[in-house]
Amino acid sequence: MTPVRISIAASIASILLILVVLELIRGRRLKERYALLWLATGVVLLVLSAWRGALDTIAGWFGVSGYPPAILFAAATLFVIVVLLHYSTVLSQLDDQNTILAQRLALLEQRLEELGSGGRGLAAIEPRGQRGDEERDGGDEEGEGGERGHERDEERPVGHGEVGRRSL
Amino acid sequence: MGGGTLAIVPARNEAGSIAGVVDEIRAFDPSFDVLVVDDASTDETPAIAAARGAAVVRLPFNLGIGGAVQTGFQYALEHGYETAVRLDGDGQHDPAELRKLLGPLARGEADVVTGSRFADDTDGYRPPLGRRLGIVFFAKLVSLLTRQRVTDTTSGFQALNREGIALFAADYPNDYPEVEATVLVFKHRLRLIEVPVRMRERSHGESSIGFFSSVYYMLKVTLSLFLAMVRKYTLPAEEAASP
Repeated sequence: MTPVRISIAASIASILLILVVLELIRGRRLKERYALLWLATGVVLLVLSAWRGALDTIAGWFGVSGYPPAILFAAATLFVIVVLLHYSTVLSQLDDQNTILAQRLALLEQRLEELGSGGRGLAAIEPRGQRGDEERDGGDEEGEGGERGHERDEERPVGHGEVGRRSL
Repeated sequence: MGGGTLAIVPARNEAGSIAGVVDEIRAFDPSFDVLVVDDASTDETPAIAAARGAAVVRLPFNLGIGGAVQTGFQYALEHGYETAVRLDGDGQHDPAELRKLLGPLARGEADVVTGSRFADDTDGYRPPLGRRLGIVFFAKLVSLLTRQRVTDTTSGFQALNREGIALFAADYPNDYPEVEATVLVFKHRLRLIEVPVRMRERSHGESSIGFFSSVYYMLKVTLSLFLAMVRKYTLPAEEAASP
């Protein structure tokens, strides 16, 4: 049988874990999707700690005869491994997204600089504003024409329609 | 053609050599546009490149060679280039050799053409023994995996057509990308061929790989090679535009 003190101590620890996680969610310091695994960990550990009969039975299944609380350690370890693995996948995803963001940013910055270089890009835009062209359609078309006529763009093949082809 | 050719030069702290690289590419063919992808250099690399008339894309922080090269392919794709060539910013790739790379591309024989130092015995380049072993090891391994003779898997001297550009813009490996990229090309059923080229000694700096890091490098790349063979792939970028 599991010693009563162990059951009490483990139950208290599990309840504390659940409370801390809930408080973190409440304070918006932990997003629900990352908290779910922790809550599951807390609940399972609480059940195993409080329901002494179940712990003994499970210990029996695994051939743990002398010391049933070992199952508590095993369960806790398992959950920690799962949580860590989950975090590794999240980290990898963030890593990828971070790279993509850096690349998009760099390409957009380059394009902005090119448009603004030597004030030519601005010159193409400003007259339109000063003319106060109110016809939206006509104005837009002129704007595009101005961009095409841009010195550096002219060297480029006409492939601008393909911006954003690569989506996530 | 009609789409033009973009020369992609990834560079990190290559202030000493970048001007020469840009000038040599221009000298080889003035119609080439040159793009320097600055991988968060702390020296004057981007300013020098821009002063030489290259377009410069500056990464906000260091992504490593793979991320930088991929940015170049994304630029090529977005700007509609038909052909891209890739040369290193340290000057070890001689633009005069580009003709050999572009030939098979122009004849439609391949989607990706790699300049190989070992494809035949021109013996212009003799790396140290350790490095040579690594190169041979990966050449054999990649040849085995792709069922095609590959002699130089670490060469970053490449020319690509639009299919190749689209693939690498969408998916390009990270740390030591060329080895894995070879497998990637194979998995996507693009045609890769090698042509023998001469490369120069690095004009600046040491080889970036020391002993312990080369052991780590071998293990890591071997692992990613096998993973590359079994990984799930998105479709080539042409079709993957709307997932």
